[in-house]
Amino acid sequence: MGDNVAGREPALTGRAVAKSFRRRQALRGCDFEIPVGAVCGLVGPNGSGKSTLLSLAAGLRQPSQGELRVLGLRPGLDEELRSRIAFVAQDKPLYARLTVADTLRLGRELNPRWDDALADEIVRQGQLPPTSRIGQLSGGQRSRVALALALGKRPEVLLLDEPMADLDPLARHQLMGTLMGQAAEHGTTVVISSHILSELEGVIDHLLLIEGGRVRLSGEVEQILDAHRLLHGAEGLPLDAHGIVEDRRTGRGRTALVRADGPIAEGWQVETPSLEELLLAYLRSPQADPANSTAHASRSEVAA
Amino acid sequence: MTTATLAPRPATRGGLRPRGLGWLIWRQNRITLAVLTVGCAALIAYLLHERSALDTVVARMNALHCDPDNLSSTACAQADSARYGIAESWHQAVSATLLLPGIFGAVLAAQPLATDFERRRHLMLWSQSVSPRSWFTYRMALPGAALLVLSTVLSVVVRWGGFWSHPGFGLSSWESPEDFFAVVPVFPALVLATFALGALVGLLLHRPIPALGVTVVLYVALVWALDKLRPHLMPTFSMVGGTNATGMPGNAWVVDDGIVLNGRWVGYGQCPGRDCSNAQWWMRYHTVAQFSPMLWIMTGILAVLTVLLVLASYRRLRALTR
Repeated sequence: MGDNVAGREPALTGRAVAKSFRRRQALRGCDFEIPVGAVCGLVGPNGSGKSTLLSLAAGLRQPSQGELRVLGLRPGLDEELRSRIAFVAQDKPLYARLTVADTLRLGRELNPRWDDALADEIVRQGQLPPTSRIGQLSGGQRSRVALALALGKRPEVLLLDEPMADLDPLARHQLMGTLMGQAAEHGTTVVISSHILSELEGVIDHLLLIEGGRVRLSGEVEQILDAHRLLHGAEGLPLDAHGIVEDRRTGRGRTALVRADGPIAEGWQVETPSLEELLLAYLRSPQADPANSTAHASRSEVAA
Repeated sequence: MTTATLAPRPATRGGLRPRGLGWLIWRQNRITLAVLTVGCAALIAYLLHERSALDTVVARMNALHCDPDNLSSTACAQADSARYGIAESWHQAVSATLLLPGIFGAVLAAQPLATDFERRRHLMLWSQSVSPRSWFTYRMALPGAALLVLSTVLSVVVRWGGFWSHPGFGLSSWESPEDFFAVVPVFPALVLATFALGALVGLLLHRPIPALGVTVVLYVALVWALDKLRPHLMPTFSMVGGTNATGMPGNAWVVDDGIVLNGRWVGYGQCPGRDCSNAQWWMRYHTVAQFSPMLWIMTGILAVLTVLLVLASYRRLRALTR
């Protein structure tokens, strides 16, 4: 975790990616790069375009404009890519009348690189009887089977849309451990969307923040955090020289999140923000300028 | 971190056991197909039993030297009544057979496809190492092949019992739409066309109950439209006769008739208020020699319709991945 991912070839590359559904524009002008081996958090409020972006990366849809490449190939169009990507949709769709064993067999039958042992292990961790029908399982147990189906495919890129939302804390911890263990062992690139910001802290090394269909933050987590400062101080202290993400009154003073550009004025108490503080500040301030350290410099401002 | 590359699993020999997508489609449809197979077998057994019962009744009438036009003895009257009862049962069974394509299309194509989309299971399936196109091809081909076999066997039995076997004794009449559409080769083509129709409806609607209903309604509309088209598949013959139908060819299908008034061919509706007792009648008809060619023309129309529906389904599938 926290490897310097700069210089690695991108697992996902987006160039001016846009997607519209009839009159609704779900994504617009998205530029980003996610390096191979990264564990990338895809964050944004409801309806921001996270699921759309993941479905484009999984090849389930095609961009209306721009280009999205995964491992240098076009998802959904280059057949070779199908066996190298796995995707778990938000609602974990499975066949209710199939048993757990049948569902894993589905994975084995439809995927040439299927890893039986790994899929069995994930199911066994959850103490799921192979003969149980999917329809009889709880939401969390179904999530586990869906993840087993995705991980058993031994993908190079794993796309997870809110994978842990309906898991209890213990199952979430276990499954996140398995997921990260597999990612580390096999160099899998993981893109994980989540509403639970605290869950991503310490797990992801790359970040993609989307809001209103646009990329607002993209880059390595350490770089992004290093480029920002959380300032506490009294009213009237100067901030003009910095890119202000959020500036709000807190009791008798002010708290500001800024993209530091030069020395901070005397009087401010300076901290490096946590990931959760940074994300919340951006989500509360939709007018703040985007910071994209991975996209083409010509297209977006570069952070840090 | 290390990047592990897994080699594809070697193909295993499994004899006739289905593999890959074949296994999935078989696993999803096996119960439905088993039920349909048992249902079709029961219907075939019933039709054969009725046909055998008719042979027995006819043999009894022959043994009693019954004259169908003059049933003087009680035994002959009973045998003749039994013969009509069998013909009625046969007709009901054939009518029920004509419901099957609509049921097949709704239950095996429209409903499961719509459910897959409604519950977003297509996302799970298309995230495996198979393309949506391959999945849909298997999804259609395997149940479609099973339906083709079942419907062919069933419609061969209907045609054999109603038209090919002897004595026929009016079990079936080719002018009746039920008898026309329930025989080979039209029936299998109708089954495949309705199956393709159901698939397209399922891909369009994504809601199982509306998909079921719409498929059945469209099937009824399709059969109605084809029945309206049926008299026009081949040119009709016409004749003008005396005051009765003498001279009409045997087993002809009269598609229109009426009377000649002042040299014009008009319908019988023109008669009230006029004296038509001495008017000549006219009729347009198809001869029984046109039966088989008309069946093949109708089969060709259904085959073209099936191809168009399948092409439309693939187009819709493509749109769903754009």
